[in-house]
Amino acid sequence: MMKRIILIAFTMILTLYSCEKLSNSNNNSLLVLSGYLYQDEKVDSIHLVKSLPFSSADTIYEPVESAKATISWNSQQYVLTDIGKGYYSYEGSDLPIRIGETYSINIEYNGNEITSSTKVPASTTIQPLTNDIILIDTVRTFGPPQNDKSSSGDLQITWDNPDQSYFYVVIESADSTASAIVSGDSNFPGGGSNLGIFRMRSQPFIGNSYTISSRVLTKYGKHVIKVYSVNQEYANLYENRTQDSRALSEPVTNVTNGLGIFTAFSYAEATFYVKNKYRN
Amino acid sequence: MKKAFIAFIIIIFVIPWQLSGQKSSLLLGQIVNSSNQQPVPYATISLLDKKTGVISDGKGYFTLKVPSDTASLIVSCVGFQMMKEKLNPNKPFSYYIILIKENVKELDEVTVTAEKERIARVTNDVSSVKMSPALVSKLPNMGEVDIMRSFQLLPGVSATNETSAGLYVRGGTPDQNLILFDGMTIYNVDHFYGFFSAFNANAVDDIELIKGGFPARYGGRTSSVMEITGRLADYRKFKATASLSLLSFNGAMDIPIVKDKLSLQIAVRRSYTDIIRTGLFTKIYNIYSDKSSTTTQQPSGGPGGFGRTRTQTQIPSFYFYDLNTKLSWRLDSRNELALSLYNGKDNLNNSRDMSNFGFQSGQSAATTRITDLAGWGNTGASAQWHGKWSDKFNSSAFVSYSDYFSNRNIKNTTSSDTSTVITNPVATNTLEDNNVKDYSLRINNELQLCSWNRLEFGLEHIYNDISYKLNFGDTIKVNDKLQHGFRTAVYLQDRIELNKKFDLTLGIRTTYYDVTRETYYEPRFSAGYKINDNFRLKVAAGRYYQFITRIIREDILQGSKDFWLMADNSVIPVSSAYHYIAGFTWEKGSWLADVEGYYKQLDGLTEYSSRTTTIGRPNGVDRQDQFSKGRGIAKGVEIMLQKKYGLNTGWIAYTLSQVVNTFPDLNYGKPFYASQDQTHEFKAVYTRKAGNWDFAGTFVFATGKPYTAPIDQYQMTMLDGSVNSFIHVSDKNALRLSAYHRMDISASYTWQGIVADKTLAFSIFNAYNRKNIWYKEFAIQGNEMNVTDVKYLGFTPNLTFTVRIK
Repeated sequence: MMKRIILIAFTMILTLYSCEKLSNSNNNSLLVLSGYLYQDEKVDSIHLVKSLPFSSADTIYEPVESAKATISWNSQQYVLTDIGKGYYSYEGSDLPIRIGETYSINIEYNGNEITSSTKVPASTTIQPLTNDIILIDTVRTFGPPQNDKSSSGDLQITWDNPDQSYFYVVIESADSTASAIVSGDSNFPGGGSNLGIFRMRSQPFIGNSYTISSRVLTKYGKHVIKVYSVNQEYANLYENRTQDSRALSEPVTNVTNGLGIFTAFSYAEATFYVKNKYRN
Repeated sequence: MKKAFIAFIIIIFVIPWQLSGQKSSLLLGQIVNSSNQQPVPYATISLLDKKTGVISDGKGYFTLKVPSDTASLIVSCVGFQMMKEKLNPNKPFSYYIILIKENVKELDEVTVTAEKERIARVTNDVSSVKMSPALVSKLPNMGEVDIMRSFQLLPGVSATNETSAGLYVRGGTPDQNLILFDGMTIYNVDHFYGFFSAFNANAVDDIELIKGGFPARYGGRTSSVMEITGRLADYRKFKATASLSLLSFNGAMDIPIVKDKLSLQIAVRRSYTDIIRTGLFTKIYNIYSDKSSTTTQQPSGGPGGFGRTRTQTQIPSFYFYDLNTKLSWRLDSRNELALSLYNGKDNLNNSRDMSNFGFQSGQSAATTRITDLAGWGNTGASAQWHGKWSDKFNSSAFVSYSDYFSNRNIKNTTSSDTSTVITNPVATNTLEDNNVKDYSLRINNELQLCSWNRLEFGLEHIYNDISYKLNFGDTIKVNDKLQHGFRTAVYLQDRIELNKKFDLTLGIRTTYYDVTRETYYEPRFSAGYKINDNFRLKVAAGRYYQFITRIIREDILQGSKDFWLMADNSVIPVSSAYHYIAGFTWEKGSWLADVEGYYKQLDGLTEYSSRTTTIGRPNGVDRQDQFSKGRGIAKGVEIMLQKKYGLNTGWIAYTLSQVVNTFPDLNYGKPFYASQDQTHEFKAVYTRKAGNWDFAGTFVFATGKPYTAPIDQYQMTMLDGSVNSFIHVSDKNALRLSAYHRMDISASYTWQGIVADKTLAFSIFNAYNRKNIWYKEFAIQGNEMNVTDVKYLGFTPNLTFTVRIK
């Protein structure tokens, strides 16, 4: 009887132990893709680096060069050119980025292949501006802008957002000859060098309006504001950009067999003007 | 389902009557403790040499077919001497009382009529084990006799969770266990961060754990059932017990109020850790000090200043207590009434002052007053009635109220002091509050249709009222949930002994849950087949639903908190499980071997994380609940070999198991090992009595649990031009901690006196000081990752002195 017991128990153990074990892939040095496609713009924001293992003595993220990168659209393949430091672009003009179209990317490097795809979201509609002029009070001294209550107000734009989607806003000066509001100051929050074209980008947010504060502007003249529609994949990444050690988890990615993001944006635009309060 | 139900009705009603032509003598009786006249629940009554038997119900009643009115019975029960009873034909067979004696002295190994009972007893039912609280006290402990820790020494119950008194049964989590204490549902079983269970062994009469395949009488949980029967006081004699350990005082009294009619049992336990902080308390608390009592300040170095790190460590004020009372009233020979009250609470006051001195002369100094108060526990009350309508029909009813509460209030008040001017204080608050109210009615009926057919049926109605609140500051409500709802269940179960070898139990439980407005059907099945007098095969299967779940909110900085929420099938799904169990029991002489294999399919599992985001909320911080839903498979084999009685007793147990979950939102949808998965677990328990000495030793070995760790990092340029660094983590739970093993030993000496017995017990937890790892902490600085192993308790001695007034 004891032999029978041992036999049965042993058979049960063997049956369970022979069960399939989970395969855990913990590859070091994965490929990290930062790929952004913008409606009506050239494909030149494809960046590829390697992740940095904690076990490595390196301290610099190694850009991935000489990879075979291809974008597929409309049953055609478009080979990207390595332009150095891990950046890739498409040099031709036959790859338009259009609303509603789906684009896929395939990257092969050292026997590894990563893939992803994205669909260009529909653009929103900006409501007509009731006032398209911001008047600036130039009684401001050198240095970062103060809380200047004498400015003639901010400009608010609104757009359609029935689905509570994410948007981000880009404001840029469209007049390269316009004079600077405060010369020599390049440290405005969110602003670029005011020696050239002013350009600033907001963070993605859920909403249907944005207030352009006169305090962040650095140039007079014509400006363009673009409201970019953000795909969910980028919204997911952005929401998880702060990792929480209390619930350690992988940042969201839509890249198969790699890390990072491949996403597309569409936009709607409007113009406004920045003028001096006293000179008109 | 409809066809199955019809078939079920046919089986339980038609077949029994067709087979009822057999003649039989029915014995209807009650097992009673000879020393205090209390009924003995769940005793086994069998015919001598026949090996056929039954188990008494919660009030000691039983019904057994006997071949003659002079047949001999064997009665056994955990904590009692095995008794041989020759039936007396002059006594009424409709109410036959059998007195059995408590196990108070060591008897000869080969004696049939009186043998030393076991700490753990594998019953005839599938996956069912019972323990005697009285004998559990012989096992080593960490400062308190702990019945939950003792159950962790059984196969299929994880023994490596030092910081949780809850049971991880066959790959399940503690919230998947239904714990009933005199009919009250207990939602919190932890004292002192889980190092001790909330149940006072002095207040417990009997405990049964059903590890799976539980009968239709029980529902609302997907893993297991633990039914705890509170101790009835002696109806005739005043008794008292008092003990003092390095952590707490424990006292209990039996107070007969009306002889043989009314008695009161009181048991109270309180730690004195808020008054005297013994080395044992400090040692246990230090495990938590890294995350809860050590405050690290890292002020940013401003212009002209220097960044610095200061660490202040403070032992907080902490105590726990619990109170159990049970008033028993024997109305007549057929009716008993009992009122139970339970109240247990842990209190933590970790308030402290922190001074932040200015970096430069004349700079203001700030004082931060941190008020950190936490409390958690249960309050419950129940009224129990047990009645015998006739010789064949008895009922029991429970009306109970249970209130689980857990709250934490952290308030930081900072005030600046420049010279003599104190600025207005700035306060920030964190408030977390979870409250579960449970109002239950349970009615159970047993109808002995004939000697070989017992029908059980009843209903259960539970109303839950749950609130959970988590606030940061005065305005940010992370979570503010109020839930209430009821569920009503009815069940029907029939136990049929088709012949002397084959018994079959079929049951169905139907639950209406008003939150989802759906009805859930839970068929249950179990069967046993005796190959011979020593060898019994057993199988069970069933469907189980769970409507309330405990969510773990991980927080390394301030200590993990958990909270209960009701399933709503939108955010939190109603979870369910299928159990399939097969095994056998072999028993010969003093030896027992029990082997069971199980397979569980789990659905509606929930994982939770809370993340901080500022996106889209320019003026504030928003926290988003993230509930991921998934499914899992738990399977395993358990083997237990027990030496039941003799001078040397104990068991060895081995469990091979695997728990794999799949969540579409986690781990890229790939399967991953559940956090409680442990492949191998080996346990050994040894007890020996030598004169007035009792010795015991336990050993546990288990392969490591899975964990997730960062393995590399990367950077990405975001749209706004900012460069964000990310950590790439391993597959979820892809790595394993090192193996856990531990040996505990104890020795106790009893001075027996006429009025009182005195026992001095010495116990060592983790005798060879194994540094077992609880979890790993990761700190990332630049390209370096520092890993800290947070360890469990090391070598920990304890001394307990007990006086028992007879």
